[in-house]
Amino acid sequence: MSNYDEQVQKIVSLKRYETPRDGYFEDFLEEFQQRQRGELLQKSSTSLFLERVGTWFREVGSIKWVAGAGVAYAAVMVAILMWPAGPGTVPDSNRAPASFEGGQSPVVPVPTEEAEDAPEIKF
Amino acid sequence: MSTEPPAESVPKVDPDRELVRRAQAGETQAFDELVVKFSPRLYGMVYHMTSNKEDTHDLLQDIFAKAYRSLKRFRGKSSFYTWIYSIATNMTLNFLKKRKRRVAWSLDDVDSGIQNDEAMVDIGHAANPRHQSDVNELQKKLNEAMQTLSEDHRAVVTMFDIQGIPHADISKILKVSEGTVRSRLFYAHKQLQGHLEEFIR
Repeated sequence: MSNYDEQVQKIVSLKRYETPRDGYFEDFLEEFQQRQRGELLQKSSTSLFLERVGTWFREVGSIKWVAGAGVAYAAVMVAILMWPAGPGTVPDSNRAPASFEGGQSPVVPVPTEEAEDAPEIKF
Repeated sequence: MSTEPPAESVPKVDPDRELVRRAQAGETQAFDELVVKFSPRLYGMVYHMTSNKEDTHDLLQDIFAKAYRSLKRFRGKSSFYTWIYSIATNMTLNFLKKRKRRVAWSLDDVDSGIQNDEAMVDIGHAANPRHQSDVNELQKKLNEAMQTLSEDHRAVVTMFDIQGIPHADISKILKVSEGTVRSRLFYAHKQLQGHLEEFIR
């Protein structure tokens, strides 16, 4: 190390005595805490909810993901199978034709008592 | 080439591990303790890089906020000290690049430092007995000389000469080889010599 190099190092090292005013770091911490609290309050409830969901999934791990997906799939399948068939969903060959002959008026089926008890109404 | 300064050497076992673990578990008080512990050192690093107190204050707030947000991802592969210094250095270097593009920025914005600080005056006298009346001038020149260095060179000078961080730790913080750290230091000193010639006898 040359003498000049040493001198430079010595002069530059004087800068370590440049410190902020007394009490600066106490104020700094207080401002930091206020800022953190402010950021937390600014977060919308949606982002907080998403964060919590994300954290929960991270915590439970991938096995629970698979199990959760399986349960969801089973629930959807059960819903599809149990769903009652609505009108027009099944092709009906006994339906009345769209047009009729000889000025006959179409017969409108009147529901009978038995029909009322039936689970499905067919026209 | 420069020798190791009387450095605050970094122990092998991270002394902040327990605080970090508690902070990661959501204990805000533990993170506050880390802020208390590291803010003076990081303040020094950022201030000597920016030479501006307001910029240093804002940047330091951002650095701790970023560290707080990223803390969950800290796995302890390096010490917390190295980790937070890396965040601080990267953010400061990015800030300086942006500031350079700011039209209004000039050396007039450089703080003159703590000109009446007794320790600085005493040390200044001890270092340069022939120039006892020039402490203020020395500080001004010193800050200006620092600003003439490139950001990368200023970073190593700040960490090594001012903060006393060993070469090995600087290389980890900056993610460059120790050889690069030494080389940057060598060229930075050469450049500073030119600016501080009148104070070197």
